[in-house]
Amino acid sequence: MHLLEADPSGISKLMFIGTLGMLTLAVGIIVFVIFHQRKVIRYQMEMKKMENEKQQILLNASIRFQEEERQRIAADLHDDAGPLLATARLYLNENLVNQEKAQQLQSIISAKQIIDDAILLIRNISHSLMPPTLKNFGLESATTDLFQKINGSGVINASARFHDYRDRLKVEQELLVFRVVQELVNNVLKHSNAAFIHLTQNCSGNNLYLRIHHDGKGIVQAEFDKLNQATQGLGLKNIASRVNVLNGKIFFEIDPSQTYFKITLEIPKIPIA
Amino acid sequence: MLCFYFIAFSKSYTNYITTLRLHVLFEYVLITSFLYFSFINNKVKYLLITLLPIFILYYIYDYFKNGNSTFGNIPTIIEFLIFIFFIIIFFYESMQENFQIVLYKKINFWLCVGFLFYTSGNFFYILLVEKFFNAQLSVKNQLILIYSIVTIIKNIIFSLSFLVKETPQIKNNSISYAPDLDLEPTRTNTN
Repeated sequence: MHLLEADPSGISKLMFIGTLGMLTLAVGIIVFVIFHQRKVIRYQMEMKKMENEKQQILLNASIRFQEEERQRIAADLHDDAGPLLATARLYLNENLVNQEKAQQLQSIISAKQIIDDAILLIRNISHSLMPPTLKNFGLESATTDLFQKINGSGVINASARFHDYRDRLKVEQELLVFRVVQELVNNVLKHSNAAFIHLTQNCSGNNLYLRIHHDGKGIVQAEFDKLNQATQGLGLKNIASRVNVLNGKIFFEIDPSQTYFKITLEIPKIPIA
Repeated sequence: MLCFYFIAFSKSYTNYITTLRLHVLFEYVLITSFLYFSFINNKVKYLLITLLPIFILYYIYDYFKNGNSTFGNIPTIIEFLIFIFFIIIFFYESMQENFQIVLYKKINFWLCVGFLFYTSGNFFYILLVEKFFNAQLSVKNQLILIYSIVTIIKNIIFSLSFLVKETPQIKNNSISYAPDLDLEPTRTNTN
């Protein structure tokens, strides 16, 4: 007030100091905003780096899983189909023509039986690679079929309900989704000790949603992320890897009622061309 | 252009004051429009739009009350305070955003920086300008110097803002759920 009542030079001084103060404040705000943002960006970059490392772990797990799958198929073929066919070959050796008719018939029947077993074995291997229901009738039928079989075992009450699956996904996408569901269901059966497992499906916009509910021991998202980072265990990494290939999201949570767990999958739809 | 014409060629004090008043009004509408399109938050946009007619009405009221005896430094100060407030909100909003691009690579950021310099640098000048009407020429020259420096800095910042190359923002990663996924015992179908 004293300065305002003073001569113009006093007011000029006040104005000069005021302007300088305001400009300093403005610069301070701008510098703070820029530095804060840089800090956040640096943090985000670190997060991205960690995410990349996680992706690398998932990729390694995926490769390892593929290798293990190949080894399993090779072992199945070598240890089961190979001996079966070799035995059939023994029955049908060159001496067969020199044998008695009854013995010949017996050998042929035995060889036929062994070949039938080999066919069944190869079919099982083939079905484990690509379920025929999935290929022919789609995800809804294959999933319903899977839950029907589990329910049929009498160990657990299993059911699946598809609300909106009029447009089928691409076959490759369906297979990946089915594998994720299979792996999740396997985990529930193996580890959760649940009395019921229920799957629901719905669509919203361009996304397909699947949710698995079970009342056993489950995990929440934080635990999933932690287990996913761990070096051991392939199951969850495979799930994460497949969801990643699908460009989807997976979310583990417990219902607010605390009575059951929910696993939700969000998959962007790629319809059949 | 109109303001420039009046200030440059009009020798009448009344015309000069009227032009300054028109300039303030035009400036307020222009910066409000710019801020309106810069904000994402609808509540802030609503507040900005609500303040526009209130300010215009107050400005007209001030004109009829004081006429051409003053160029209306109080409404101008209010205008500056409003803009400083909204620019700070804009910075806050930008900081809250899940950004993938650096803030100083956005044109809007630099335009806001320019406005902030302009409003804060001229705040005391506008507040005290009427005290200098009878001041000596040397004092007036000092004021003009301060005003000019602030305006030049503002213009340099504006020019720089047009050199900034914006990069597109990366999609956000939020998860949304479809309805009808929860357990409904009456609708479930045990197969």
